[in-house]
Amino acid sequence: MLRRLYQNHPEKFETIAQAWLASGASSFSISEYGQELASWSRGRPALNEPKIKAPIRCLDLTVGELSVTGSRVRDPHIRNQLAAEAEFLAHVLMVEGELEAMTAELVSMQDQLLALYDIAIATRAQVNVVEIVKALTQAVARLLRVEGAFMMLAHPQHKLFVDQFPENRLPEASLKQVYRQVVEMKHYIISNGYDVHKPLPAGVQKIIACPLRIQGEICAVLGVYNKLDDDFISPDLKLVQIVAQQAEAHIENALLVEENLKQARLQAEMKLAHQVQAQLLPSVPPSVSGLDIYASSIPALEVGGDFFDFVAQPEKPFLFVLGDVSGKGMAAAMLMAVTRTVIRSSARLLPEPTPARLLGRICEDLYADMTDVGMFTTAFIGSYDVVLRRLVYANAGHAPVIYCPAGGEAVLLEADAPAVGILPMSLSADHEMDFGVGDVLVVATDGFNEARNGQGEMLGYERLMVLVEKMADRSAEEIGAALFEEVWRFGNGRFQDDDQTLMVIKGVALDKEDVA
Amino acid sequence: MSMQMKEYVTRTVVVALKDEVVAFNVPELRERFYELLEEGVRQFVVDLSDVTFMDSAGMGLLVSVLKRARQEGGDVKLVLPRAEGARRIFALTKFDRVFDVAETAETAVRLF
Repeated sequence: MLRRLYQNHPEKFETIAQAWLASGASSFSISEYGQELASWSRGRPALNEPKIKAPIRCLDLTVGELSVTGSRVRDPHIRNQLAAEAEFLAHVLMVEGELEAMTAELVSMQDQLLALYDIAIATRAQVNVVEIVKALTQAVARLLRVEGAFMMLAHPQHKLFVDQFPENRLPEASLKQVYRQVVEMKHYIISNGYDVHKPLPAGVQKIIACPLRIQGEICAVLGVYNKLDDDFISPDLKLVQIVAQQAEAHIENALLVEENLKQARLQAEMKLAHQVQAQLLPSVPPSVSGLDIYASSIPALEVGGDFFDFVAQPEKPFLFVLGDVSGKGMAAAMLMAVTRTVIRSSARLLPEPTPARLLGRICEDLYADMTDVGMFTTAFIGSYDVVLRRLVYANAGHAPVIYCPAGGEAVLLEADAPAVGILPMSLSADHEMDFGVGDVLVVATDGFNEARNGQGEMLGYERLMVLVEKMADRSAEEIGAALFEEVWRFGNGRFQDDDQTLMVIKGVALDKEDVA
Repeated sequence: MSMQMKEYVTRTVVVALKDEVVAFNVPELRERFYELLEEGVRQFVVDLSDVTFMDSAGMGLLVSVLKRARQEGGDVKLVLPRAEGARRIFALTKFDRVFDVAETAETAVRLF
């Protein structure tokens, strides 16, 4: 510092020296940290001539000294004069220092502005979190002139994401160590490796790492390590902090965009699933002699896998089926479509397609697929023989199925086997019963009995059974409408979160041509 | 004469669930079960004594744990719920034909 002052203003020192020599001193010299910077003398100095020194002290630190030799230097006035000059020099040095610091700050502000500009350019085109992280990591590494930079992001919307520039320079374990430390402290770290009590991770000699608060949660860390030519100082920290703040805002925006995209995709999927479901369900029940049939399905907001179908073929009993694929969304809708197709084609191909055989067929064809996607489907299949007026049914894990014989009490027809897709073989058997005029069969999905009211209470089986019993002398459509109305009334207009699908089959008089 | 002994110890984990097991909490429970499977647990007793209701998602959870455990040579035994409503679902949908069931965790453990 003193040397630089001397080099910048040698004439000033020359003036001071010449003034000393003119006033009778034999020599004058200036030194920095014990090393002489310059000296002036009048001829050859006499041996053993008295010499006085005055230290140049800046903030309690002696940075150099002035010395004068001459016969009269022991005079207190002369001593005071030298001390005053040394003090003045110290003052000049301090002012110079402050000026330099101000200049450095200006430069660093300029750097920061440039950094912001660079980052704005680098992230302008990015809406993807991964790309933003990569762009910012690169930008900070370039700006700080460091060996490398990294960012770790552990946002719940994303899997743990680590980006390094240059790639893979540091072992991931080292980065995780830094991440944990910063997240636990909730504070930046800056270290040049001088503190032996706080060892740095492998490969790191100097480091700055700042936490990023995204959507209120500290879940990312931006770091730079091993500055190439120097130690990290506070302007470096400031720069990393600025980039970190920029990163926070950019990542938050990108997460919002991603969330919106996801929602849009989900909505599109839902719409498609609704369409699949709606198109596959028969819109009008078939006309079957001796039966009054009503069937309807109200899909929930999030589509499920409810389905029903009818298969009427010449010379074969009339078949009806109602089922519920577990799970929701497109997967459930697709599995429901496949199940329906298997039932239809088996009903045509099997010589005697009894309900139990059809369930066996679904199990054979779809068990592996259902296991792969972790789903299963309950199904109730019935077949009706118009001549014998008998009903054969098989029930794979489906509830509720309510049977109300004419004038009798409503009962639940329990399944005799679990849903299809749970066990590799079907355990369903055919059950037979008479089904004459006034007998009512109601097959519904759990969207009915599990419908909830405002208190979270469920509708349950009993209310449905009581209603079926009460409405048993009405038409299938009236019974169905009453059941839908009951759910609506019970839920007080709340939209239910599961599909509600219902089939009502009632025995009525045979068509004239079928009466023997 | 010499005698060699080997002892094989098989872990059985009893997982007790409470209240409702429904679509809303199934994903979290599934994750916990899968963690146990990852850890190498193959024998599960799922104690449903204090479960008041299970929907099809809850049933689906039990089925997927059962399938994965059986793939690895293990099994899942159930302790049936005490609540009448929840018990009825098992009977109606014949889930009691899929699993070995017991009334207490102690007896369920002995079913392995």
